[in-house]
Amino acid sequence: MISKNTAQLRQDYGLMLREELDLLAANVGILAAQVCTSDGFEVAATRRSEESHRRLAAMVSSMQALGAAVVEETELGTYRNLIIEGTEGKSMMMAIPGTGGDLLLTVVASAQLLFGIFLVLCKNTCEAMSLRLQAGTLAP
Amino acid sequence: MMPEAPQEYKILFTGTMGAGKTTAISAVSGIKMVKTEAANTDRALFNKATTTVGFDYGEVGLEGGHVLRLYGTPGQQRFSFLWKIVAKGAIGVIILVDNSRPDPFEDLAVYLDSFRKFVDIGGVVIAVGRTESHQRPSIDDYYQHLAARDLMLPVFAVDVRKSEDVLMVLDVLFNMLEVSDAESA
Repeated sequence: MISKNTAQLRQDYGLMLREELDLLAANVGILAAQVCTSDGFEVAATRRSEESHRRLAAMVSSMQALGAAVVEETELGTYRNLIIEGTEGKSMMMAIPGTGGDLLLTVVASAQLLFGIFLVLCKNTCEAMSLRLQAGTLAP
Repeated sequence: MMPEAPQEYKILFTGTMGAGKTTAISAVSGIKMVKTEAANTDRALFNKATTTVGFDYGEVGLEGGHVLRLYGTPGQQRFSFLWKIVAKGAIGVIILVDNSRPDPFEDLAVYLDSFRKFVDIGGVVIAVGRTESHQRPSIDDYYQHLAARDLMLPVFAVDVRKSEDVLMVLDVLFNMLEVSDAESA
């Protein structure tokens, strides 16, 4: 579990997370990406912090928690991710490994991007973030 | 009057972060609660390890097979989008106020405004916590504050850790709604 507050997280890891988000966003079909805390604060995003990002961080926090509650209720093991699909695109919400579920990646993609590719891109980004967070001594 | 056939009634617990919404539902729920808590990174607002980010859920069984379905909202205003979602289908709201906060009246105003439709139908009870350690504002002060806003709502000092306190507040709300229901019939 992360003991840092959001300001510390932004200061210590914001730039590094942003680099990973930008690498992800360089892929065709990725429209936006964000990392937020599990209690709904934006830590890094592909675009400058906007009101919509702050609202999205809160929504992702709730969705992730509800998803985890469903996983527990239905005895599906450990929560991993949540996928939402709309007519114009889709969104993936993933817990970043090694953070105890306290940091969440949210990615928005176009409808044209294939699900399998989308999933792999998001997972690769999560793993890269996890490795860099651990190398950066993410304080337990 | 409430119908004779067993019914389910949805009631909300809301209020600031740390006011005791999860504790209140936990104190009375007859089932294993559904909790959606996350690590709290905003210790400056309230120094506790976790905070509700989805909703809490518990149930209280009543005589005649009726069931109260209790939902606790997240307290922080950034989750206000969820307040509206969780409030759908609810018959009443219990607003928990933390008397140890710097301005409990300002806190109260946020929830009175956000749940105005329940205020208008007389479906709100105000439960004030931590009054033993923080005696001001008094319960009378709350009534005067509400009167200044042309509101007549019941206010109680409660310890949300005590099931009898929480059940008392639920009982008051349920009876208020029954009276309101009977008057409109």
